[in-house]
Amino acid sequence: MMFRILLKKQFYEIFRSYLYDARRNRAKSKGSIIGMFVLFGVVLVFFAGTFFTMGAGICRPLYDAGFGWLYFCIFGGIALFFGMIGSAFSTYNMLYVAKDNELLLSMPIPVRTIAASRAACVYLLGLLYSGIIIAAGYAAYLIFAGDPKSVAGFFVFILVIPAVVFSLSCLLGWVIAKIGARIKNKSIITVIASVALIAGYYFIYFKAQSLISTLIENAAEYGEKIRGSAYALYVFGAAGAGELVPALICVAVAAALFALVWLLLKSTFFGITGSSASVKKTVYREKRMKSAGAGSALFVKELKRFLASPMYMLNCGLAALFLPAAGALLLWRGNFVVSAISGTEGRFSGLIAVMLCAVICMIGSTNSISAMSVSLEGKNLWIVRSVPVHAFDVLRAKIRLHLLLTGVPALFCAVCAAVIVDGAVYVKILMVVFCVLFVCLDSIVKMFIGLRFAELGWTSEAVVIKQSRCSLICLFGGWGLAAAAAMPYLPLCLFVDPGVYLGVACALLLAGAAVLYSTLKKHGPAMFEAL
Amino acid sequence: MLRIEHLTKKYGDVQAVSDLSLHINRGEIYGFIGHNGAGKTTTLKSVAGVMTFDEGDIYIDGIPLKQDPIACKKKTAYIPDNPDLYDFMTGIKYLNFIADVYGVGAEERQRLIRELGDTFELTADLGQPVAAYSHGMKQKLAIISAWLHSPKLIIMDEPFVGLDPKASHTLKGMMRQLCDEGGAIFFSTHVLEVAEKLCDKVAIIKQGKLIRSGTMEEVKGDDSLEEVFLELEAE
Repeated sequence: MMFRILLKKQFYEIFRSYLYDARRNRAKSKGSIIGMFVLFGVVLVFFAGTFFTMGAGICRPLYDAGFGWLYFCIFGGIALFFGMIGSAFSTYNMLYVAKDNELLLSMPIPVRTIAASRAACVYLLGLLYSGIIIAAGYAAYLIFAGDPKSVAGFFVFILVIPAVVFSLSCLLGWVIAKIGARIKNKSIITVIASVALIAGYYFIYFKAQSLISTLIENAAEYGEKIRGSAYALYVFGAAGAGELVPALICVAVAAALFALVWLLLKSTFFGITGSSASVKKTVYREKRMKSAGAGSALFVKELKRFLASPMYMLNCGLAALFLPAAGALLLWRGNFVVSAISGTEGRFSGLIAVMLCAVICMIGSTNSISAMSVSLEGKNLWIVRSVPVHAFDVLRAKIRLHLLLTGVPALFCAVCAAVIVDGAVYVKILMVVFCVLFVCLDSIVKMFIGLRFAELGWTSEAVVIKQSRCSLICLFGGWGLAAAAAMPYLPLCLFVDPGVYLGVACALLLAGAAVLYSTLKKHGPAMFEAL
Repeated sequence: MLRIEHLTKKYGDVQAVSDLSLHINRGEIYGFIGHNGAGKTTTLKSVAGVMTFDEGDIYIDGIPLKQDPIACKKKTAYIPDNPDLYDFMTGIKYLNFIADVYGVGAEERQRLIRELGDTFELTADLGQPVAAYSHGMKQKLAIISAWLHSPKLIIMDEPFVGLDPKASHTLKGMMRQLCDEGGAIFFSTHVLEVAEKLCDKVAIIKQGKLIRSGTMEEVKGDDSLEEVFLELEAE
């Protein structure tokens, strides 16, 4: 009963922004709600479609060779991996860092019930991510391999994989909580550890494609090897294929892992949430103070806010690392990229400059600092409201941080891209200008999104950063904007010079950014005041 | 110092403050009392420029808040009922932020932070993150930040909540001193004994409407403030 109440509260917090207009103090219109769910549906279909296509390509050859279990081994592994990536980085926040911890702990609610309600959200997030992949994989298998026995395997996987994802995510969250209580600068350390994990993920992801191709080409040889030397993988795949004994083994192992993690979570939850961090107390020693302007103070405040939250950095500012890394990669393996895009006969050589810009813009658009910083003001909003600064100065500080952490890395990456492209100097310059202007436009668009879809009454950052309408719109809106800026060149690439296209696009981006900036200056303060 | 003329604020269909007018002169400590949900916080937030209002005007030192909010805010400081400060900053960084925004010079801020920090016995904790502060420490930090830029008018919502007796006593002395130097204080409280002893004038608000205001003697006569308040509430 209590668990249901807490879970209802968690869901209410997550879905409130989708169903309720806090500013107008009334429920959202049916059209708006339907529109949002349609958007969700499109995202899910796109996500599932990607994996369905992948499954459709590999299931038949594996099934024909008698290695159906290998297909499920691969797909199960992917589902496990994506489930982990989707939930692991937010698990710590979702489990332990909520502003209503004290309130709930003060109530006559068993601690295990509070822990269970938080854990349920972690489980559901893992289920969402891995479940889509599992469903897409089985749909492809049923259609293209036509093996009805695999339906039983679907139920095994949908039971086992989210349970394992949950267990591993919670274990990671617990480790972060334990380490975090003992170290200083834990935000930075968490980010470094997470970035290392992401780097590992991308390494495996890129390697996985060639690995899967090799596996399929030599299914018989590798299949026998896996069965012989990595029997656990075979059991896992066979369980997915619907074989009874492996299925029972997998369910038993997952259940045991789940139970162990739950015991750990239950017994340590109060110790972690109920105690303040044991950071060593530093006695303040007076130093000579320096003064700065209000604009600079607001900017530094935004920067400190960003650096204080691993979740904010990882979900809204990762392009600050990805863009320089991509630039370095281009300098290192640029020739490979160029030849891959331009084709063997160089027919599409004009396309390279624009496509590289598109990729840089796509990466840059994953940053949503200017948008998210509005909601993250939360209950501190009164401070910037009560001090003598123009509301636009507050917004400008947020945009400046976005530009610093996206524009500068994008500039570096664009310069690297320009270096590896064979072309006229003016094309190279336009590539750089295009990327920088795109980031400018993107930062202002996201500022509007942040103001329009602000959520200030959150109890956990995870709700704003990972589950809000704002985050969803920013992610897909940013990609859409990047696609809109570069994709029109695809059908034109054989007839139009890339320099001409980039020149026109730069002019449009500049005009768009100027118009939006002026609109923000005019209407942004009122939107901010109305929050 | 503060002139509120026909202030009206609605939340959807609910009228939180209705046609409220109030004048506060220099040198006055003005108490604002009323039951929960009477409209005190809404009024204080409107005066502080934290919240927009639907009708009426607010003037601070003769400057209209709607037309020139920045000039008004330069003369005021606001302390909310629940000091949600920046958890991600240390106490000293927060004070520096406030000093930068209000344009307080380096030497002046150094002196004031030292003085006010010592007064509230918070100096040693200024290097700690605000997240590690207790409610009372946050309240002290909010008070220091309010006094840091020498405002003419201080707006406070339940300022004594969470303060220890010594800090409460200190705050009362600082409030009086600011008013003696030509400033003004407008604050809400539920502690009627404090209002009775500290305030020069008092206003009672009920369901968004000002039902009585004036000097302490005018409002309470020979009765205690508590008796008058309960009587008015019962009407």
